[in-house]
Amino acid sequence: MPWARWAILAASVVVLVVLFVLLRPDDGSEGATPTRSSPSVTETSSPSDGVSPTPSGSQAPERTFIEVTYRNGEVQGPTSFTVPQGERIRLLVHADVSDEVHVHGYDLSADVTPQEAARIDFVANAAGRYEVELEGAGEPLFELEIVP
Amino acid sequence: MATVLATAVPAFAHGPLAGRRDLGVPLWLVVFGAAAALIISFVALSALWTEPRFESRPLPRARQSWIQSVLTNRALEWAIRIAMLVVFLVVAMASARRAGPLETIGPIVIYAWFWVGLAIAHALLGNLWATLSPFDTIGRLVGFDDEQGSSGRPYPSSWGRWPAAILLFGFVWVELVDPFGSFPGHLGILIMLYTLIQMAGMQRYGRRAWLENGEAFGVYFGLIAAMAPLTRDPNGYVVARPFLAGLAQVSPRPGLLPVIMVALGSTTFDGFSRSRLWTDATAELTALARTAASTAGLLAVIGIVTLAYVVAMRMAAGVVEGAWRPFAVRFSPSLVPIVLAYVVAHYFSFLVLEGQLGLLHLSDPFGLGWDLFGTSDWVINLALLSPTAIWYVQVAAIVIGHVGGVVLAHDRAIALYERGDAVRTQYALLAVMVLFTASGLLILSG
Repeated sequence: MPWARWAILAASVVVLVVLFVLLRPDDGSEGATPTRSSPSVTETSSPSDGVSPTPSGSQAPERTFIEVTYRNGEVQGPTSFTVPQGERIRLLVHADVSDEVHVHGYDLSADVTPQEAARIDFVANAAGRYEVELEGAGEPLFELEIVP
Repeated sequence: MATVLATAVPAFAHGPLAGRRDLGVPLWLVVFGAAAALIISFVALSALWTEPRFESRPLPRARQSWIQSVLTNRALEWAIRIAMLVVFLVVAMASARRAGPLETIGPIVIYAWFWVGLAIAHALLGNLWATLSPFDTIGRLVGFDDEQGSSGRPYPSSWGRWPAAILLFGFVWVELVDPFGSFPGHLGILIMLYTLIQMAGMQRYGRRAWLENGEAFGVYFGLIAAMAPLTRDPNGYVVARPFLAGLAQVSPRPGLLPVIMVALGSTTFDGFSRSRLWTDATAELTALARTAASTAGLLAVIGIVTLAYVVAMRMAAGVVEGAWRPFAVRFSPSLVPIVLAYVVAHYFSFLVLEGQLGLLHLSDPFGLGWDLFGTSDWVINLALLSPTAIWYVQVAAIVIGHVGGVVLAHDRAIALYERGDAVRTQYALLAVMVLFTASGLLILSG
């Protein structure tokens, strides 16, 4: 009788392992190095208020641009962006108020005024979903999803 | 910068404490987790678990060694109690100073180290809170009698653990809904209020009588500690027992089910309220309306979880033609592993990543610019956990919690009923546990 039990136990372990191997995607992308293949992924969100998405300074290598405009108490355009891990990011936030733009988790901030956009440059080295908000108003701007 | 934070109106309940969310668990892993939960619970129940192993299991005899004399040493116990009282006072003071959520050690120690870290420690090491609890230590120092309070009457047994359930709800409301829940200043007032309630309760009904029914954290940690492989025997000696076995000894009493339902429902709500579905739906609301909506949401999720469990219990009780109420209370400890599983799945990364903030603040607990241990200019290492590692921990927690719950309920059923009845009572319970597991996994994938 204990023999049968061991057989059932062994069979279920085998089933689980086979299931795991079958279901798991085998492209090896998870946890691996970020894809550096695609040259210069520039992702710009719609209304660019005269600020061109071209990198300032000619030596700047590829960067992902994320540009957001906050007007009349609302974010114009999408409120979530997905960026591969390891990417160099430039956030540009335009607003019709004076406040502080804060990237949670990375804990980066920059001041924004109606005259001057907030600019935050950083490398997205930690995966996760991070809230970007207008700190003073407590107003969420968008969510930055950094995927491996 | 400091003043900006201090006057800020927070957007989300956790405020800046939880501005990071975990990435959604990939679908294949969700499917695998669900399949594993079903296969393991089916195999465990049909083939491996045919007689009760946990019910009325006597505690093993304590083995005498020098470790026992350390663990039962009164002087050491009191040194730890006083040290913890000092820690409590530091955290309370750090939580009382008006500041931003990230500026003092208070909020992060309360929500990460204490609420999440201690819960996990209890599941592994047993009831630490019995010694660490500052409320117990205060009660002993003041000299309240164990059972005899000023009221002259014993603690009303019909109240059971309802006071703990209500206070626990208060805590999760502050944690998940209260817009100022992560702000020092506000938190300090609440800590003081909670301490006063505990002192009044002990004064009126006796220290032990009150604490085991009305101290929310003691009741909550005590339930989680019941699954630990270590416990103390009546003489205070530490003995080992199988993992989960202690939950079969939890005495059913009024209010036990509400405590478990508040714990289970609140974690579910937290996961749900951070999903895009919820944040988009409430984005347009004013701060006050958002608080009202979140309060309603929290109550609704606790209600739905309770309803699902009660419906299953009514069906199960119908099989053996018994009343459902005692039945529901008797089987409720089998949900405790699922409570812990949800805590681990939702807050493990919060403890390991945001929890590092506590280490930084050790050097400057009150946010006054000190640098006692040279850690105040450390930076949080968000890369400490890869998303893959977080996903595996999350899914493993849910699957293990599910299997633990199923095994406990099954063990109790075969101890109480004939084989055929026992199996049939389990169908409804198994269904509700599969529901909890599936919803837990779905929330993680969102």
